[in-house]
Amino acid sequence: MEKTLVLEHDGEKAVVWETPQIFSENDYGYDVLEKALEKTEGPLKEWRRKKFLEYYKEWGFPKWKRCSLDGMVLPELSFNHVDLDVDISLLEKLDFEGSHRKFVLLGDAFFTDFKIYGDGKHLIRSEDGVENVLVIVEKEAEIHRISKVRRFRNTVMRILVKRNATLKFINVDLSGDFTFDNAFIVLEEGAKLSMRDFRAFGHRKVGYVLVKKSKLSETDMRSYFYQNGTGITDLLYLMRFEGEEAKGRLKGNGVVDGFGKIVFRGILDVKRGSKNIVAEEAEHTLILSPEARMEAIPSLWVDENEVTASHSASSSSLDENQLFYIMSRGIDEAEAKKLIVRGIFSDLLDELEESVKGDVEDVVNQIV
Amino acid sequence: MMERIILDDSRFNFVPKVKTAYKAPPGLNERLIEEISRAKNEPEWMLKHRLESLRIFKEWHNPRFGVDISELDLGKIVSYIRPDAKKGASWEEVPEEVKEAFDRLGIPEAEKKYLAGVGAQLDSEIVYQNIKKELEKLGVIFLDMESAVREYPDLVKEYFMKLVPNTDHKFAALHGAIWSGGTFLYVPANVKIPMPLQAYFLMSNPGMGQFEHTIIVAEEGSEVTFIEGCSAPRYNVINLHAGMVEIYVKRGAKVKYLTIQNWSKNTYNLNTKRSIVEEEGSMTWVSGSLGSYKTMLYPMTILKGKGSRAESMSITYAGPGQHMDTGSKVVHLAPYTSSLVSAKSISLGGGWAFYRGLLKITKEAVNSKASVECAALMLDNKSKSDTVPIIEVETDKADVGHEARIGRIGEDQIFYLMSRGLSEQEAKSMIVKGFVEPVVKELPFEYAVELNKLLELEIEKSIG
Repeated sequence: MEKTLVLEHDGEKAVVWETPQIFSENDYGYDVLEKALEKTEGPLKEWRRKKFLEYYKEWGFPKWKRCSLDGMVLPELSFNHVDLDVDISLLEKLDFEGSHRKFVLLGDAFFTDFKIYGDGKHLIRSEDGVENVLVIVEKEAEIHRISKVRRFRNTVMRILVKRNATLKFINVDLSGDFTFDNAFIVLEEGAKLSMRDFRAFGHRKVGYVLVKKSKLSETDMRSYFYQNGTGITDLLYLMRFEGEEAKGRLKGNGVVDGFGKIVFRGILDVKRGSKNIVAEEAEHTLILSPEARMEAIPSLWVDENEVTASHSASSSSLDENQLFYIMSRGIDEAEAKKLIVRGIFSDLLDELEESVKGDVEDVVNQIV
Repeated sequence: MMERIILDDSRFNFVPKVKTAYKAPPGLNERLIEEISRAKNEPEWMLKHRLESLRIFKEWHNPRFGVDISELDLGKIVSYIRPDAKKGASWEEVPEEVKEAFDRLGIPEAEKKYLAGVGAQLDSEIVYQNIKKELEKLGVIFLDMESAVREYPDLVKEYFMKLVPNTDHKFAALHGAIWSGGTFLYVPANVKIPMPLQAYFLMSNPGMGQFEHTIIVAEEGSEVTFIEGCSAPRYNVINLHAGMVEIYVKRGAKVKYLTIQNWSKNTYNLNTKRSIVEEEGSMTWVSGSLGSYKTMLYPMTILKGKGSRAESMSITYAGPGQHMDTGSKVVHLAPYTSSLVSAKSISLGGGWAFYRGLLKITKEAVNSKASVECAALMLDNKSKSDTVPIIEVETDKADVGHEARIGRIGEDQIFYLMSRGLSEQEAKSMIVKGFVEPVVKELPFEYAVELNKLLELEIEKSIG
């Protein structure tokens, strides 16, 4: 199982914070599992059962410090019929901790639908429920995912990009009371990943993306976010380098307004032997209201000295000089603010296809 | 050809031959604490505080982050050792064998040359304390903590463990129970002390703990620089250092606190340092951490007053077998406050340097500015270097920035220097010195030389 935080060195372990857990009486139990098993055939049936045992016996829900889950109620689930010939050993190989082990196991034991994608172009529409997705890219794939949730969604996504294959992944995640995205992406030698991640609104929006990188792999990951109201967006992007000559760039950019809060964690984890890699991360948050909050935890963990590794994080209010300059060109203040905000998301808008672009544009136009 | 500095390792790794007058049995209990308190002739409130701290210590869990302390058996640590030496007010009064220990560290020489005062602590007690007469006339109080508790009980009570309460963490509670030694420095309003004051802490016994408590109170408009030095000979058993520093910077005052820590490689250094700064005050931390087996240390500054400032500059060295978990904390509580953190680390020979920081800008800290910069130099690929800064911003009217980079010495830099006639070793050494120069230049000249020597010694041992 791929853990999110691995802090050890030559047999010496650092003490890693263990999140307190809550064991809820309202958790899914054997009765819900039975309903899920009734709708499942093939190798996934036994796998579901196995994952449920770990889910039910070993894990409670996390009591996070930065993103409280108070008020979260698990929805009643309605299961689709699933009969897929899934390689269980591959699922096990791609097993991971995610935002919290409980949520990964929730996705594995109680998925309402299980989807498998391969090469080609795919549009995924996500709604309320528990989804489990497996993507295997042999040569080239493009995934456009748009998620619009009302109450609750938990997603587990395992992606394997095989040797020298390429994946373009556009992820648009809007609204929802409680949404949890747990993605584990494995890049084999020479594989390429380009990811654009846009998350907006929502009461509690959690997105954890862990990318495991082999030799010569390349990752260009850009995260865009917007939060307002009283919502909290909790994001973690982790690139784990396990091979030479790999490249990984992570750029985060977003806006927080109202009483909203953004938590942005960008982690570059360079394992020994990953010589001559380039690992870069930069994150900036624009804070638009006196009540809004931002927390950034950019981390570099480096076991190899023949590397170029750097990160930066910053926050600011609207730049008065920028505003003044635009207004001196005859544009009123409200419109000038809109232009500045739009500038943050302009790269993303340029890259999006019509299938999801409209939704993102609607959000950007609402910001100021 | 560059002239080589002749290094004398023995200077930092010798065993003082000092007799002990009293050595507490290992472990920790109420009886021992009462005994220590009685021996120090403390007022009742201090004994109560010690016993309350012991109760809290027993209830507290170990830190849930940082270095692994499972090897540290507090039941085996000797918490109190009184050397067989009365505190001397003049160097002549200090027993010969104690003098020899501090002579070798250059303390009396430093005092003569450029210190306004010095305190020297051996194991659990201050054995020598002196301050320039003219400063005494100005009302400056520079005393060992025990004497301060007895002579200025109300003043000490006002500040003692108010910034770091015994409920703060397990080792704060431990410290509150068995603290011994340390310095009380009080600088009256508008007194600017032109030369630094120094305290030097030396652990001479195997298996001991040193728990000195330092309080600095800089009244309105005053200025002071304080230097702390630490060392110990190496034994095969674990030593523990869990000291505490509390600094109160009043309106418009300036305090600079310099540390050069070279604890032996069998020491757990679990120290707590905190300062609070009032309006227009300024606090500067400068630290060179070279020694210890494992360290957890995050000097903290609370910017409480409008326009107050904090600066923290540190160099951390992690050599073979060392795990250094260090960093800084700055909390902005007031408008127009500013802070600058510059943290550098060098890791080699399998050492692990970990930067852990917190920068918090609260809702009230409008128009504040904060900048954090981390740079890590890895001299081989056996070592590890990590950086985890936490940034929390609760206002839209603040500029906050953080940058970090990790890498090795560039081949081209080494090649260039070698083409000018330097050996590879000399070239590396010169680059390392350049890397730490921003911290070193903040130190008084003699200390800068010392830190450079220590670094050169460590690097020579590992890659020489």
